[in-house]
Amino acid sequence: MISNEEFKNIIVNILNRDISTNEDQKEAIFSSTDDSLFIVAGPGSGKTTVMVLKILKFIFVDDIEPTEILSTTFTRKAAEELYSRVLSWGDEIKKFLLENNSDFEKIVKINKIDFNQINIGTIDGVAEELLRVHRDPGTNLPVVIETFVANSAMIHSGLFKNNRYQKQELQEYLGHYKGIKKISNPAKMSEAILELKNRIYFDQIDFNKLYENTISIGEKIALDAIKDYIEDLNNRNIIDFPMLEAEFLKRLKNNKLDLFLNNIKILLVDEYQDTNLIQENIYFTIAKSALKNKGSITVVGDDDQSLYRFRGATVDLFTNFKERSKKALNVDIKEINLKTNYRSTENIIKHCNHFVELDKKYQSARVKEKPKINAFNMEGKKIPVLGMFRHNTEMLSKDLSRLIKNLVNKKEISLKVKKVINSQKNLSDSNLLESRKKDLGKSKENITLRLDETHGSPSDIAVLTFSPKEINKGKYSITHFLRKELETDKNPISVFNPRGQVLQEINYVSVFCGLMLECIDPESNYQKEIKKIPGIAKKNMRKWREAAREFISKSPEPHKPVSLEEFVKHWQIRQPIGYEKWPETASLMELAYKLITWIEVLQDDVEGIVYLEAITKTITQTGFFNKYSANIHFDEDEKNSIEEALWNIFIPIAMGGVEIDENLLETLPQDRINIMSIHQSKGLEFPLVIVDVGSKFKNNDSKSKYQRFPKSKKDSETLEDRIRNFSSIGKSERDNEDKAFDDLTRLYFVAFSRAEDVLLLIGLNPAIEGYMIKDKHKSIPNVALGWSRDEEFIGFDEIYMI
Amino acid sequence: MKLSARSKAYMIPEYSLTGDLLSFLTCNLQYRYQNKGTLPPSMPIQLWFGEFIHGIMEESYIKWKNGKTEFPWDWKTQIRPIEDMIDLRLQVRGLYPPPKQFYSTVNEENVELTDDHELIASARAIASINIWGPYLFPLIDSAEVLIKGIRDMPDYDESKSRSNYYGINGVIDVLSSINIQETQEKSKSDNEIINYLKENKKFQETIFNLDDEEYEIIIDYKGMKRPGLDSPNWLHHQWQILTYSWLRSKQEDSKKIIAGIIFYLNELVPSIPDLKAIQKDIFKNNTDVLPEDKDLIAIEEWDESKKVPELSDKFKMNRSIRIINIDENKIKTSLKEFDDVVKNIEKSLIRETDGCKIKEAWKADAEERTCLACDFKTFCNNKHNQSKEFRIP
Ligand code: SF4
Repeated sequence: MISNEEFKNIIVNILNRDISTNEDQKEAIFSSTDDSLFIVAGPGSGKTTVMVLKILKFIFVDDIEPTEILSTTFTRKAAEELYSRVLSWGDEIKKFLLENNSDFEKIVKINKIDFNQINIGTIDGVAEELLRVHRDPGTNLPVVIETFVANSAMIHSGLFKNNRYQKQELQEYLGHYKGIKKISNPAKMSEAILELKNRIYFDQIDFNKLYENTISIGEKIALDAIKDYIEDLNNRNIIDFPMLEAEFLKRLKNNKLDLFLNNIKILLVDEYQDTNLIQENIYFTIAKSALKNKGSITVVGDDDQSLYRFRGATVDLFTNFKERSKKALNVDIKEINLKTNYRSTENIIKHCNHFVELDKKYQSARVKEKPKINAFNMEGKKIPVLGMFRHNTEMLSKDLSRLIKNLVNKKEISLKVKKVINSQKNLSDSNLLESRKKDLGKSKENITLRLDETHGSPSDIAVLTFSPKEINKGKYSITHFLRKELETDKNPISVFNPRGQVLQEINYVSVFCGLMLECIDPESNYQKEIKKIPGIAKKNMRKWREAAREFISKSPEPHKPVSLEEFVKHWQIRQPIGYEKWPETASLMELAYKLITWIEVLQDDVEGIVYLEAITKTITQTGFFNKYSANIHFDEDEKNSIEEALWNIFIPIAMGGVEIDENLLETLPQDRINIMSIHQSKGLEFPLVIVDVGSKFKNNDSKSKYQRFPKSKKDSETLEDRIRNFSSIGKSERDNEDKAFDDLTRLYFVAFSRAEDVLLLIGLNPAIEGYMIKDKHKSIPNVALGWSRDEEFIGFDEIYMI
Repeated sequence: MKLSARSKAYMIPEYSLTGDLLSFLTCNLQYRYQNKGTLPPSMPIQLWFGEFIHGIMEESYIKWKNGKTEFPWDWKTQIRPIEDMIDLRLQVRGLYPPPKQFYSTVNEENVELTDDHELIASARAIASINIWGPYLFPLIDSAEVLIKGIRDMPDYDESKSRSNYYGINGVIDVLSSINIQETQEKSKSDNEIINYLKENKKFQETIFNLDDEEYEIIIDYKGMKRPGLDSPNWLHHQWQILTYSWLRSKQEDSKKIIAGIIFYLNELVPSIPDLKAIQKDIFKNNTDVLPEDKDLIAIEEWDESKKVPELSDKFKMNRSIRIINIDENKIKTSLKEFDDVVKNIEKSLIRETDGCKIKEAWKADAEERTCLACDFKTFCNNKHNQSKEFRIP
């Protein structure tokens, strides 16, 4: 339609994107339709921009039809973002061309471009849609269930059958791969078995072969549970996401999707570093057709940001992409490195480069000859990487929250630099401390910081941690203290950390669940009759009921037309108001909504609603496997219907089996500080990023090792290894310990590279200085603070301690 | 140093015409909880049946296209399998059928179906398929077409608005003129839908003045009775079809859209409350389709204590089908109306992200009927609800 040159001008002049100086971006965007690319995109390198412009260039310059393009990303959110950009820039270009064109034929053609026809989505979304559109006549479409429902299906069809969940061997087998003695909580067991099942799908394992070669009774029980689960789902014409991918691949291979394949020209895959074997197979199958149709495959990703090994991703498929696709598709792939970073200041980028290169052994896990990230020149932003380390967690959270409060209250804060610490090579433990003290002399002038006066908001600040849980095994973590400090003040600052608390322990959730239990099963009469309820569930349900009774005794508003006390009483003795007699059935959902009348947080607060949604989802979506579908019956079925509700709704919640849906967290409120796990932060960026690199580490104990320095017993086999024995991927050349170190390196690389202007590392003093035990100085090896896996401390260039 | 302000990810908010915009018009606060949030209604009668009957129409069309099965279809052997499939699909999403309206076998094994199991939702499915199917299915050119488009964000403000555009979508069936002509030639127009179109003067005028040979008609189904002329729904449905036609016209393979048809499927088998409302509309002259002769007498003589009387097929079809004519000016007006709706949704949303409490950010206001069935009535701020009785359980 238009020339490369014209398109370039439009990008620069109409979309105001200056790509003229970035040769890598230009090369990626302007490659021709049959050029297959391997794009290694460092953090903040504008990869979404590149993908969008690439798609638009294909359409406007090469006359590729929107329907001939398929583009996938890792999350729904990323897909929406990509799609939004294509729509808006596409529309702007269209408008421009229509205004500046007199050729009638061209105008008609431009007018008809419908960007909505581009297939953009997650691989699961795309698979579901294509299967729907190209279904065989006369067949029923399988219904895809969310992971959430799969979990309850596994409990129901796999674990409760033959009381498998009580089997010692199974509990130990599942525990073994998690590095603990056993898992006995059915919700957690279900997750672990689903992980096994998913890996079987992802790694394309022959189930029967695995079954025949099974090594332990525990594994056999797990595989039996999987068998029953799959059979039960099949009988109901239901599939879960991994099964959907398998079905999709099968149909691609069996020529059932030829209409789609014969049309496809452009395949663009984002976040390819988190791909697994079955997905690679899907992509290669589609790519084969695309290449045949004179098109190409392009994958985009960054091995340093691969975080989903625990979900079956295999970063090698990315790092070895060129070789693998040569072998499978006989195509030569061009590599492009998007190395200019437009997000962060030079100091932050230096820090990231240094961090990712400091461990020699990590280098062999990366894309070969990977270039350093380049800083895009940002005038005037020269704040060094900061560190805040304190004696204990309370002091740390006090000082940190003071800093945050001042910033949020729009003050310019002046931070006194206490010392600067440098990269320390070849230091033995004993003289480490001394050399640190010397650094004190090097302190520089104060550092000043403030938020943007007009557009700045608390959401410019994010705290990233390994785990955002506020309480773990009875111990409060920094996120707990921080919330307390920030929220109890004259001018409180809200914290948004819905993953921080375990659902079942949040006060108003306890009250809410307790009220429901008190209504349907007063005095725990039915509950007591169930013998097999796990201990934790019993304990939590008892706590809920106590919380509920206490709440009732406070006589919350409103008192009219009925008070909470009256309401619960009437329910308990089944005495109706507004009906002549107590009906035969009552819906739990209706009960839930009525109870909210007295719990204001669940009506009015964004976070409260997110919790409420998790609970109502448990009530409704687990229902369909069951007889009473979240209704309580009051005839001879009363006992059974209450038991069913306990098993399907209350026990899973009480045992921590219900988590907050990540999709619900997408609209982060402006007026709150975000606290999140590093995983959650992937793909996001914040002006001020605070990374917890050591708020938990007081000494070099083995319990915290997995979070900082994952030395393991050499001979331990992971679930990944176990499964890979039967997969064509085969066992990786890297051993488990190396992989664990790689994972941790990537995790903190992601964390550090989220920062735009300021990166602040926080932790306890011993994390930096070490500690004394019996007159001996010890240090705490920690990947995030610059230790290599050889237990050598290398450290960072410069961190300004405040 | 001054920190930069956080740049938001670029995201065009996407609105479904029925799921979002019409829901928001029903009640802002209810929309916030139920649609924007995911709090499911405890008794999703309306929601369930709407989705159910849509699914039934789509699946039975596919079945018909595949086998050209003669009508009428038998409930137990031909329709029930479709019902089961849709029931399952909805249950997986947490939408359970109201037990008095639909007999579900999703969790029952090997049930022998009897006529007693044919409850009202099934009766409506049967009627919809067997009454409209024979005429409608041969005319359909493509089913379940997803239509999407973007529009400028109303009152766009760079520092506040979420995006400079918003997206709008819907799903329709499309009838093509080719199928209409073929059918006409083949069967000498004993197709009732074609007859209805012929009787529609405005439609004929449009056809007469049409430049192109080919045209399209878009179809939507509603699991409700025909709204009264003074009901907001009457107008909203018209806007909906007009907006759909605008969206469809943007698609590459579309032809000129000259009309829309809505099928109000409850009219084929009205429930007692439906008939009560129909009766009221008729008495108040609040409807465009009035009964005659026997139907008139039957309706006049009926009261709630009696069973729903037999009404003629013709009358039921008349009330079920609504032809909406399309013209450019009307399209403009309806787009403007929906722009306003989006503007209001976005306003509430921004209030909420700015930290305003949910009940303050979203207005609670709805028709009494809606409030009566609403789960949030015991705590919402709508003044009219305050003294309402509180029923237990
Ligand atoms: S009770 Fe009425 S006004 Fe209140 S939320 Fe429900 S529908 Fe809206």
